[in-house]
This record gives sequence, C-alpha cells and structure tokens, in this order.
Amino acid sequence: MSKEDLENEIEVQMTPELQEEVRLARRCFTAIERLSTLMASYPPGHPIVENAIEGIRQAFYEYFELNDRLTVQIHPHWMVLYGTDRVVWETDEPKDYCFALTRDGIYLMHILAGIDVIELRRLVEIFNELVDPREDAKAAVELLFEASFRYISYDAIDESLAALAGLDSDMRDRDTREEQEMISDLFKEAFDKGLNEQYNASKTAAAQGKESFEIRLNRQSEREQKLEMGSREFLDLDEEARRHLLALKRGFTEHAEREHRQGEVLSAILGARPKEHLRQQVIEQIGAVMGSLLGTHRPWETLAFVKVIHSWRDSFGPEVAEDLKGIVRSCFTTARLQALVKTVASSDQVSRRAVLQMFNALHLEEATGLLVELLGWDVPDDVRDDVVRYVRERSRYGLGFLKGGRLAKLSLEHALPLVELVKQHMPQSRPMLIELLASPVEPALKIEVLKILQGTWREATELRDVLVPFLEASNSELRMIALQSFADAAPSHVVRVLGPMLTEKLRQRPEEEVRLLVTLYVLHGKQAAVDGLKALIHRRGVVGESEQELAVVIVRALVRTPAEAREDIAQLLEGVGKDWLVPGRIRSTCKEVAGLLQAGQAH
Amino acid sequence: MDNSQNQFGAESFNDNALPTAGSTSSQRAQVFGRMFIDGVYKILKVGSIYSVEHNQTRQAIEEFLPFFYKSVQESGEDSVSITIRGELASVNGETLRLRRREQERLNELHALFAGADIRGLRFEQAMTASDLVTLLKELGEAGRSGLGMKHVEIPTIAIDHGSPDQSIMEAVASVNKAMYVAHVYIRALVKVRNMHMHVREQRNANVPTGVIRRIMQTISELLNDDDFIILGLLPLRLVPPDLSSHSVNTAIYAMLLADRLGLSPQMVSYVGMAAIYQDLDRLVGVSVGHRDRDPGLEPQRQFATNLRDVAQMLGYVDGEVVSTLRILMTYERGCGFDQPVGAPFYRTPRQLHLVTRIMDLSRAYDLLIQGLQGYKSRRPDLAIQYVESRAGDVFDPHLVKLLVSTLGIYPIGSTVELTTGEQAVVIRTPDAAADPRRPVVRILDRRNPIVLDLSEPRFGNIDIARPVDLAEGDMNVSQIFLLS
Repeated sequence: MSKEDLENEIEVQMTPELQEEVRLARRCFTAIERLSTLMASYPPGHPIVENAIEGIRQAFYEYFELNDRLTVQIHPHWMVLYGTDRVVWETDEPKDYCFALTRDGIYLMHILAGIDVIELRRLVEIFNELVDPREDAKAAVELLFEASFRYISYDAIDESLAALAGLDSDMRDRDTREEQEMISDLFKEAFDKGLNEQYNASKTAAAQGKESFEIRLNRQSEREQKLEMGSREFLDLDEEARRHLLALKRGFTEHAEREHRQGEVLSAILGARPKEHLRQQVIEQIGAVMGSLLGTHRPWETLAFVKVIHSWRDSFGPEVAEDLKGIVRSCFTTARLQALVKTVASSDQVSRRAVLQMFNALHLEEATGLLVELLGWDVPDDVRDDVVRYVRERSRYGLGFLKGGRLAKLSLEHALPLVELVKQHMPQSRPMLIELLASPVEPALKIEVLKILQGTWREATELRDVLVPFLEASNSELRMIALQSFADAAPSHVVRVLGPMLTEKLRQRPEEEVRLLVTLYVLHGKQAAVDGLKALIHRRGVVGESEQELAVVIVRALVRTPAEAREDIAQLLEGVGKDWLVPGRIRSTCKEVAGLLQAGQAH
Repeated sequence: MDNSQNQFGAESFNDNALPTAGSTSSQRAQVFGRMFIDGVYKILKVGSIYSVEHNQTRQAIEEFLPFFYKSVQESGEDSVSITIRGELASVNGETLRLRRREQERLNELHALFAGADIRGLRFEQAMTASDLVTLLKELGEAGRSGLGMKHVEIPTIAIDHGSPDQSIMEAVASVNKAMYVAHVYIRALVKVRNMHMHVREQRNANVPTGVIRRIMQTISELLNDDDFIILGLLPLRLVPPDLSSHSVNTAIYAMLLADRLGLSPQMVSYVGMAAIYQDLDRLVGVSVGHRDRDPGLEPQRQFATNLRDVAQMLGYVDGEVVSTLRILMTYERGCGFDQPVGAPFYRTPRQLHLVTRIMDLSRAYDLLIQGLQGYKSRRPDLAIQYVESRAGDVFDPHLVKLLVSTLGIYPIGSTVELTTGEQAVVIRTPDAAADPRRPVVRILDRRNPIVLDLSEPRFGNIDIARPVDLAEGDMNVSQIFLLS
C-alpha cells in the first residue's frame, strides 16, 4: 500500500465518536425536514408544529453534547459533515434545499451550540421559502443575512469571489457580459501588470494559510460581545457625545422613531387633502408599513403606528376614515393573524397581552375566532386564562367569532367557558347552540347545551329535526335530558313519540332512564300508556330472564306514577300480580308496587 | 440511445425541442443547458467507445451540429461554453439543476474531462464537424497518455485546462483578500452606474436592486469584521467621479458610521441602500439635501417642498425599513440638527433622525474627496479638516467626531511623506487608543512596498512629515495600496 493510499485510508476511517456525531447530525436534519413539512401543513403555533420544534431542539441538544459546532459542507443535492465524507442530509425535488443553497453560493453552514428554537424555526422557514416556487424573489444569502442569526453562520461565494477563484459554475451569475467586461477592465487597471510578482507572492502566502480568507467560525454573539466591551462602539468619544449618539441611535432601533415617524409623514400628506390617486398611494403605504411592522418581533407596534395616524384625524378628509378602516382590514390577513396568534400562544405575558390589546383596539373579529381555535390546543394555563378573558371582553360586541363551528372543535373542558358566554347571550345566541347540537361534539357538551336550551323549544320542525333524534342517542344521560326536554316542550306528542320506544330494546337502557321514560309516558299517555305498558308487563308462560328483568324494571319505574294515573296503573299491576301464569318475580314486583301505589293514593 | 428523452431530461435535438418563448429566461437556460450538455455527453461518450471515424460517431456529430448552430443563432451569443467543477455543470454560466440520475450521467462526462485534465470547453459559432472530430481524437489521446491537452489548438474550440475537481475551499483560499475587496467595490461601481443609466432612460426609480443589496451586505460584513481595505479604495477614484461613484462612496461612508455606532450588519446595509436609493430618487426629480451649501428654506416652504417630494416617491416605495429611511431623509431635508423638528413637520417635536445626519455628513465628505458639485477634489486629510471646520455649524459635531476618530487624521488611502523622505500610502488607521498621527503605511516603492506600523516602538524615529498630493502619473497608488 502506497503512502497516499494509506493516507486516504486513514482519512475515511471513522472513530466511534465521529460515527455517533454523523448519526446525530443526520437526526438533526431529519428533524428539520420533518418540521419543514409540518410547517407547510399546519398553522403557526399548532401543537403538532410545536412538538416537531421540540424534536429539533432535542436533536440539536444531543448533538451539542458531543461537539459545540455542527458544520456541514453543502453540495448540490446533499450535505456532508465537515471534515468527513459522510452525507448527513440528502435533498431532492421538489424540496431540494441543498440546491437552493448552493445555487446562491453557500458552501458551508455552521450551526453553533446555544442555538434556540426561535432561530431553528426561522431557519426552517427560510428553507421553505427557498424551495417555494411562489417565492423566488429573495436569494438564500439575503434571507440568511436578513435573519440576523446569532448562532448560525455561513460561508458563501459571491460573483466577485467566484470570478477570482475560478468558481463561475458554482452559482448563478447576475452580471451581464458587458458588466463583467467592464469590471474586468477596471480591475486590471487597478492592478498593474508590473505588480504581478508581488500578487503571486501574496497568493502563495494565501495558499500557505497566511491569507485572511478563512472559514467563518466565529459567531455573531461573539462580535456583539466585542461591542459591549466598547472596543468599537463610538471609539474614543467623550461621554456627552456618546449619550447624544446613543439617543439618536434609537432612531434606527425603535419603531417609535422610525415607522411611527413615517406615520406622521404619511398623515401630513393626508392632512393636506390630496387628490384621490395620491390619497390611495398614502393609504397603500400605510398598509405596507403596517405589514412590515406586523412582520417584526414587536408586531403590536402596529397599534401605536395606527394611533399616530389617528392623532392627525382632525385634518383628514371625511373619506379617509373608511379608507383607513379598509386598509387595516386588508392588512391583517389570515396568515398574519395566525402568526400573531402563535405569538399569543408561545410568547411571554407582556408580548401576549400587547397583541391581545391590539386585537381589541382594532376590533379584529377574525383574530378572536382564531383565538377560540387556539383554546382547543394544548396551551399553558396562563395563556388560556388570558385568551378566555379576551374572548369574554370581545363578546360584548357579539358572538360572531364563534361562527363557523369553532365551538364544535373544542373539548368539553375548553368549550365550557365559551358555552357559558353563549348562555349569557340567550336567546340571541340560541341558533349557535342549535348548530352546536348538530355538530359532532362529545355528548357531555351536548348535554350542557340541552340544559341551556331547556324550556326554549317551540318550533315543531326544530323539535322533530334537532331534539327527537337525541331520544335515540347512544349516551343515556343525553337521551334523558332530551326526553325531559321533549316531554316539557310537546306533552301532547309524548305517547306518539315514546310509544314505539317501549319495546324489548328498553332492557338495554339503564334503569334510571327506563324509569324516567315510563314515568313520562304514563304521565302524558294516560289510558293509552297503560295499554302500552301492559304488553310489556303482563308476560305469561315461559318468559326469558331478560324479558322478566325488563318487566320488573318497568314495574319498579311505575312507583313514580303521577297521581292522576295511579288508579289505572294500580289496577293493571294488581291484575298482573294475580295472574298465576305470569312468572313469580314479575308478579311479586307488581303486587309490591301496586300496594305502594294504593297506599300513596290513600294518603 | 433513446433520442426522444435523453439522459439529462431534455428533449432531443430537433427544431421543436428548443425552449419556448413562454418560459422564463432561467427556465429556458436550464432546458437549453441540459440539452446542450447531453449533446456534448453523447458525442464524447460515443467518441470514447468507438473510433472517431466510426459511423456512430459521425452520426452523433451530425445530429448535434444543427442543434448547436440554431442555439447559437437564437441565443445571440458567439459561442456556447460548458464548464464542469466537481458535481456541477454550467452552460453559458447557468448552473444546471440536475436530478440525481442526470447527475450520475454527468459524472461520466466529468470522468472524461478529468482524464484529459480539462474543466471547460467553449464552442465557437464557426465550429465544424472536423473541429469536433479533432477534439475527440485529442481527448481520447489525452485520456490514454495522461498528458493533458495543453498542446492542443483548435481554432473554434477553446479549452479551459485544469482539473475539474478543485474544491471550493481550496479555490477560495487562493484568493487575495485585497483583490476580492477591490473586485467587490469595482462591481458596486459598475452595477450602480448601470442602474443609474437605466433609471435615467426609463425615468423611473423603481428598478430591481437585489444585486446591489447583496453587495451592500457584503460590505457591511467587511466593515463589521474591521476590514477597512475598502475605505482605502474610495479616495483612489478608480472611475471618473460622477453621481454613481458618489452614490457608492456615500453609501460606504454612511455604512461605516452606522457600523461604528454599533448598529447590526443588517441595519448597516439598510443605511447603505438608503444612500443608493436617495440618488435613484434624485434621478427622477426628488431633491437631495446639501447641507453644506444649501441653508434651507423657511419652515413652511421647506415643509411643502419636502412633502411634495415624498408624495412623488410614494408610487414606488414600500413599507420596509429602507423605504422608511429614504422617506425620512426626504421629509427632514433642510431641518436643523441642533433643535427638535416640530410643526409643521411633526406634531410631537422630534430630533432630526440619525440617518439624515449621517447622510449629510457622508455626502459632503465624499463630494470633497471626489471634487463634485462645485468642490475641488481634496486629499482625505484636507477633507477631514474641512468637515471638522463645519462641525456644529452644518454638521452634527458629535457625528463628525465619530467620523474623524474612525478615519483618523490621515484617513486610509491618504498619501504622505515620511520624515525619512519616502512617500507612503496609509493602509490602516491606528487603534482607537493609539496615537492618531501614527497609522500603518506602505512605502510607495514598486520594488519594495514594505509596510510600516508607525505605532510600533521600533519605528518611533519615523514620523509623518506632511501629507502630499501625488502628481498624475507619479505612481499608481491603488496598485500599491491593494497589495495590503
């Protein structure tokens, strides 16, 4: 084996530690890919997405137990762990992330220990943007640069580096041929041919590692640390100059000094009563600024921006108010609202309440609806409390946000506070409850709703279509409350509706329910009820165990026979009790109950 | 070989196979690239299997040539180039997006290139079948002998020699940093110049700026890494001074100040873009403040003028930070820096925005350096003296201090005479804590351009005697400077 072969052999030899590193790195990218798919399918903040994010966090945590830096070299369709030839992520159409990165010149990416879920989430968002065919405006480098990551950095070649390094094929070239020639001519002019020797010497020095082009492994936070130490910021300025410049610097870092200022500028134009075309441009610009503010990590600044404009309203023309309302509406798109709801679900109390305050001030009905959906997710108690409080507040303006079957998506526990709200808005909110009854919600919730609706059933068609089907529901408690409601609402129809239910099938129902059914039947059915019951009780000859049981249950239920029917029922039971062809168990029960009824009657 | 669908997923060479006009330019380039590379692959592959005189080889060439001529004619170019590096292939500079299977086919082509030690071919329009036959012969021979193709001369086929396997990192490491910075700066000058021409022709400031934005991002990262080579290039006037070079230089000075203020690289690049945009706005009739020469109007008139200009901009700005900054610069034009700006501009009085202050100072400094808008061209040290003399009068004095402390008394690119009698160019300013009069210089001597860090004790006996103006043709300072 030659020396070169031996070196190659050693180069690819993997220590167990390195193998483990590769395994964990693959896991990290698998988790990223999974999250990428989920984020395209679920709204922001959804528990499934949040779980996947937790999965990523865990995967990186385990990797960083071994190494404090995950560096990958990016190839057109795959990534390898830096320093090895092991592929840790392969990508292909339609989500060829690696190609999207290499096409824009990115050849190394470093993810450093300390990275948090916010940065990981943003990284996945960027990956998704890169492969989204609808979004081709921004390039990978620009997106990564704008993201301002603290724990992710990258090395990329641009056109200049590509031209000097002879890497023209590694990225798309965005210069025209004329521009390339012009750049080349100017460049040659700047470097005299007579200096070639020195240049070549410097090139050799570069090859020997003396060049400053090195892989960027320092992280943004280290640079910021340098700033905090004051090595660069303001240099050697005196205290007064520092204070002055620091105050002015806020003009860049705070929305109040940037976008809000722009709010005043735009208001000033509106205040000058511009012609319609210009007025529309201003309104559109207001929308654009709002959209931009909503995309920041302090989206609630949008409200302050709107307030700035509002403070100029005395100088606006009358038509402006409607325009502004319109632009606010169109600005809060569903996607933006979902992102804001995610903020509510996952951020600290101050941010959460600021967002809710903005929703409230701008009367964003759709946002309230999305918040109701949020209640169906697994969110912390303090978030839930705030959201419920907010929804209560919004209910002062109506319950439109519950439309669209939103209540039906919640479990009983989560829906109860809202059902209570609906109750408070009865009878106006009654259609909402009827709609809920028709939805596939858990029986316990329907029971609550039926309780609220008790005494409100009037319409015959509603009774037939909504209430009566519950008499045959699968849940006993639900059937009972429906039974009671029906008997209260339509006593004259009890015999017709309940009669067919008094069959052998009754024995499958709990005794308590049978008792209620029989009681109501007897109460409202009178003689017809007695006749109907007789067939079920007066069983002669060989009677099966279960039939006997049913008869006994019915007879026992008759203990509660209302006063007006007691005589007829007592006679019926006495007759059955005396019939020797009736099984003893039924007879004895009939005698016992008949005795009780007679005693009650005597009293 | 199936002609209807080739290995690279493209159509075969027939008249209908060329990309249609309905597709985007990138899509067209991709489809064309795949077809072309497939054609080359076919010929080279067939040529490597059969002899070059074999009927199969002839047939492959005959199929390919009509397609080639038509492609060259339709593209309007004189030639078609193909380059391979590692697993990438590009045709006419367009990197091809290959599927995995196509990639495997490319690997075969790569092996043929590697065997002949070539990484690219450029086929001229005048190429004939016999030229291709010659290429195939030589390619086969080079593969067998392992001697490469440097000796081969085919008039219509240019060969790019070298291994197609150079790694990106090796290639990048071989690049001289100063040359890279110079290239970035020159590219910015060229791109902005072309953009200005475009805006002038179209009378519309709404032009794509993605590439410029990327360059500004690169510059902001250079500044953030304390890499000040670029600052030395600005006074060298690599192009004849005009509005576009002023625009780029102003952007860089403004970014430098923003960086010194500790703003994030993102915000620094926004400041740079705000300067670039301000000049685009200027080209379509929006006035740009010139605080040093223009005392401003009385408030109501200034307000009305500024408002009119902002209204003019509204057709092409959007809500992002750069737009906000350019609107603020126009709106606050002519407002004083020494007292809050109140009615009629703002209902609540506000300090003049920092971006307006930065831009005023950066513009004035570059106008002095480049000798534009009525100023005579000054050396950097004289320009510094000038703005210092106007500090507190027309410029924010604290910001001027920041500029001076950043650029130094002898800014990068200044030419000086040392007490030893030698002339030198300043290539680095001293550290903030060091003596500002003792920067790092490079001796202006082509044969021995040594570097002296005057802050080092061993050079304690050497001082800067005086700044000097170099006469035209004396020495190309840029060439010496860029050695750093």
